[in-house]
Amino acid sequence: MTNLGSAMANRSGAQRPNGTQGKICQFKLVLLGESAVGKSSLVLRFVKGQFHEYQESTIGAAFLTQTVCLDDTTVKFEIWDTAGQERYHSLAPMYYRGAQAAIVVYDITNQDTFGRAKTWVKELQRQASPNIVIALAGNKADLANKRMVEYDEARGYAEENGLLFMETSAKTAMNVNDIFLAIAKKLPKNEQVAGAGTSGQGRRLVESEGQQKAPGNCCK
Amino acid sequence: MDDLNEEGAELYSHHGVVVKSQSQNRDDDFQCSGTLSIVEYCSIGKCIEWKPTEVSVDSETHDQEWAMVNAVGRRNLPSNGNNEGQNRCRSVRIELADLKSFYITRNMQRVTLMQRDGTTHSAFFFQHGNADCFVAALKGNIKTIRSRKDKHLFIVPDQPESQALNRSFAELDLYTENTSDFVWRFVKNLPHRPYESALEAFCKVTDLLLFRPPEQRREEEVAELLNRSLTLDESPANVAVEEYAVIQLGNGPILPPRPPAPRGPPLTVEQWTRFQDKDGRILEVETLKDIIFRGGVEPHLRYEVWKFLLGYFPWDSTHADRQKLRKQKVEEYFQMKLQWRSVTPGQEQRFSDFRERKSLVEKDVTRTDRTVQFFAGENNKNLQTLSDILMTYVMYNFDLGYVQGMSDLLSPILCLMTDEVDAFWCFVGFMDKVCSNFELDQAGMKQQLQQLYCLLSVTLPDLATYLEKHDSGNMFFCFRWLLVLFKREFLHQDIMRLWEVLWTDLPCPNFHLLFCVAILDSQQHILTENNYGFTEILKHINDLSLNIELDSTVSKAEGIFHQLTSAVKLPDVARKIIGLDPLGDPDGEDKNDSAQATNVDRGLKVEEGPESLETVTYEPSTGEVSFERSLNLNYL
Repeated sequence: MTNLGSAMANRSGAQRPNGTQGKICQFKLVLLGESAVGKSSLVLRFVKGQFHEYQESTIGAAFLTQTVCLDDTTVKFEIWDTAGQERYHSLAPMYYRGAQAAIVVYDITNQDTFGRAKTWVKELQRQASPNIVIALAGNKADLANKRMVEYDEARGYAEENGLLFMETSAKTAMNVNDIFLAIAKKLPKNEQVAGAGTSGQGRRLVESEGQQKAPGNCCK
Repeated sequence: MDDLNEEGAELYSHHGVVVKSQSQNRDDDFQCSGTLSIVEYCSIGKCIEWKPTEVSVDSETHDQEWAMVNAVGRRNLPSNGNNEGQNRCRSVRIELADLKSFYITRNMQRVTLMQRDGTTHSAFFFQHGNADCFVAALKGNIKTIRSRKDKHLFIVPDQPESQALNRSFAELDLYTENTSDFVWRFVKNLPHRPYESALEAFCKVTDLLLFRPPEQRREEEVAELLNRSLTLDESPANVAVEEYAVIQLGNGPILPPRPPAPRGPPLTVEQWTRFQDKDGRILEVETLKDIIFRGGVEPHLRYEVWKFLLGYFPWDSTHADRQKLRKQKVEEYFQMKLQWRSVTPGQEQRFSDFRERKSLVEKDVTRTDRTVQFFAGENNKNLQTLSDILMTYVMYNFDLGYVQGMSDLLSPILCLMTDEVDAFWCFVGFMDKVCSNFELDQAGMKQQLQQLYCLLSVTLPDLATYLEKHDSGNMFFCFRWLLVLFKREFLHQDIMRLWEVLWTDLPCPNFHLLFCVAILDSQQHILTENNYGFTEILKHINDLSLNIELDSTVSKAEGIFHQLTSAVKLPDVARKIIGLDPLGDPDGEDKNDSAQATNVDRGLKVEEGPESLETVTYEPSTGEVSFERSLNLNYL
């Protein structure tokens, strides 16, 4: 683990001028939720700052990366964006197992998607890594006039289940970076905890020399 | 691109570099001219940056060569386009530390940049002059190695890894001369080495040197989970898989050189008329199909020809027959449409299976090809037609219902037919060909992915071995290609051309799998020399969307077909996938017939579905190792 870490640090630091000390953590994050709740849109907003009103459905899976900075730590998210339709449920374990974080997304204008989100949370609690950080995102918050899921109901559910919770809008960018940052904050960033992962897919954590964080990708 | 709060120092810049946008537009091409530079920032170091200087839609105004780069057939943008215009030309910034490799083609005029995480920035095209200066500037800032297998490909060696490798070999003190040169030569030659054992041994060393943790790597685990989630049998057979892969190299089929397979002109109205008798029957269907396979159909003739290709009209029907048939089909269609239209809200509330299907259709219709003119804009009535056809299909095949991806298959058909009834029955014909893709148990997809690996392992054994070693032997990264038959990879005009070619069922069954192999053939060195793993491979393949050249790929796929048909010792399983008669045991013509029959039986079981495969046992002595390997269910 330590050796891998130093390799990572060297790689990232290779092109960078000397600066302050920093840690780099890499986490696998998966997005789950009913079809058409806005999983891909949240990722697209977070990673590229874009929004497409008619974002096409995801077939198979998409993989994206994005880095955020948190104090002296650089957190690199490896994001798996999945197809939402129930037909492809059998592929889901491959995405969430070994993931250190998950965002379960529902659509605040559709009560059914909230029910489905709860089922995802249950499945994650039962089958994913025990330490997985789960965030619940009530997306399409810009459509508040069509709201079918009350904020308090979702917040109450999230509190009961120890989930991070935010209402988000990929369209307006509301709370999108925030929810990823909140997850980054909650993820363990010290080596002892990192080593305790059950999956054997260690969180890659390093202390590097001559490493400065990269504000280009983060701290927006 | 994020805005940095600092001014960078420009180290190099080149004006007039055109980028083909990566938006999801399937209807047209557009490109932006801009400036490509290398800039150094205090905070993040050196970056490659591209910034647009103008927005252009009409590609005809650009110089010829660039127009050639693009796919055929463009339409103008929807005039009511929202803010897409601004979205189209986003600046690009790539930190040099993240650059993994670059690929230069078209007389040094086109550069593709690839990042370490698999992100591919397709095609920066140098309008004025060529990329020489840029490449020279790049080389001044980072170390690059030209690939020995593909002269267009330049790799940026992974700094820490290469250092680690050099250092470790130096510590071993095995070579008195320049160790790093030796190591790199060895690494580069590695995939050529015929001895699998050497390769494997070296991989182990490399793994060790790269400080892989002793536990499973992340990607391996992901792949393993995928395998598990797709298989029926939980028992791990990875060891066996490895062994097969090892034997395969020495024993694989011998392929002749790939012959050229030139494409032809599309079917014309004159030809089409000549193929009909006075009553309208289509004569010499096979000759006709051959023309279509070779060049497709002229766009304005598609409306007519597709109805035959998709089995809506029989080839031997007369004008009168077709008129009668159509009347029937209209009636039948509206009868089914009435069924779901007459479901009352109360009924719907008590009919969850129906409600679910309806909701899935609604969700996908609003986001199907909205950048295509035909479906663009608010309250577009064509969306209603799309929805109506899909709902009626739900009634036509309620058990299958609606599955994501179906709207993608219907969209080009509806664009072409415009008539609701004709589009429906053509869609039914298309679904008949591909409905196994959408089955609940995914058996059809699994089988195709297996067959694809089998064909790949006989055509490009090095790549197949590489994928296997990088947790991608399950071919999951081709899932989207197969599920919607490349719909997401091509512009509208191109997908119409590709589909009509595939619908001819020429030159063999499963030609679409050879088409996959042909795409992978062109990506082989990029995947292997970038040393991409599971996630990077998936990302790179996803990023190929709208950057695959149609005609040359079809041509290559046909070339591969000819190679396979004349290959020595092509395993029976591969032969059967492409519709060739099995040979039985290729080495012993005197062997008893019953043994051969057993072999055939086993092979046939493959096509029946994965369930029957679990008990199949193999005889390594038959030499058909690659297909035995592909038979092994546990790899998928």
